[in-house]
Amino acid sequence: MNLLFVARTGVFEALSVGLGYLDQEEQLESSSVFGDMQTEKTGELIYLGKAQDGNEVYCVGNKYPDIVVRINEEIKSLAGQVDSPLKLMPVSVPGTESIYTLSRLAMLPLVGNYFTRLAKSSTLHHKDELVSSGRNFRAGVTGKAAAKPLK
Amino acid sequence: MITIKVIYFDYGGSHSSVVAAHIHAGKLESSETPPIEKIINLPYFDKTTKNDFGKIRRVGTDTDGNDIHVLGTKNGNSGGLLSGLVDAQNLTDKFRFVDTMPYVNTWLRIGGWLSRGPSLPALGRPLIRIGILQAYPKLVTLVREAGKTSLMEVLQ
Repeated sequence: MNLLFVARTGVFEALSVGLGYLDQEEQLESSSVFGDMQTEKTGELIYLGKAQDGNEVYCVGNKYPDIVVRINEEIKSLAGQVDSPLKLMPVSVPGTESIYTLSRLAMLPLVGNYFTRLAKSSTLHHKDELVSSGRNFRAGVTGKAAAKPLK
Repeated sequence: MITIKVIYFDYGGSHSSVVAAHIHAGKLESSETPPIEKIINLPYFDKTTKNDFGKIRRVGTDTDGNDIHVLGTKNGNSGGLLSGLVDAQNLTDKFRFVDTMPYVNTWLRIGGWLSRGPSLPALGRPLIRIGILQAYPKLVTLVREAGKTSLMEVLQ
């Protein structure tokens, strides 16, 4: 079972949670996709690596994670048998809502880079919560700071 | 015979994707633009609700036996996401996603929003009519490119 973390931002929140799941959070700041708005704009899946449990881990950003989950369920349903199914983990960590707003502003021409830096800074400010969410997913624990499924 | 699922997608899954899917399924003419009433009366055309986002809805089958579907993603740029989802599950050979967003003109954009957003179809549908008639020849071309050999024979 491979995993896809879906958050409202891919190169900020979902990336941090995914690296937390992989126990590679120290790589966040040096990651080539951290704050990369070109990657964010494509909406493509970002491959993060293979976890110790053998799961291939991906992340992606989408304004509507619940719709991404539904699309994936529909794809699996239409496909019938899926040999390597992808389990989607929609995540929303309380207190990190401003990252999404900053990431949208980061797409503006001319001033975008300024907001990209702010979004990265905000992500690092909330890094502990985001990373622990990923760890909690791995442990199958829903703690106080754990990511919760979106409605 | 190996068949695939061909999924036409756009933001709402209401207009351009529905028309393209019906062209592909042979339910709309490809040689000339059909009467607008025929388009408006298509299943799913300008009828979707917010609960339909993310649902893959079947429209029909093409001449090769491929199932034709429509999808509204509530996102203007979903090609990478959809390809990624099937790639990561080794399903690439079973699906083909066709983006109709590049053919959504200003009339369709405004009309579609008025009709499906604030639920003002009386205002939106006249604009949708103009927009879909303008887009129709381009959607036929798109379907030709997305289709397979025998489909192309039908279209030509």
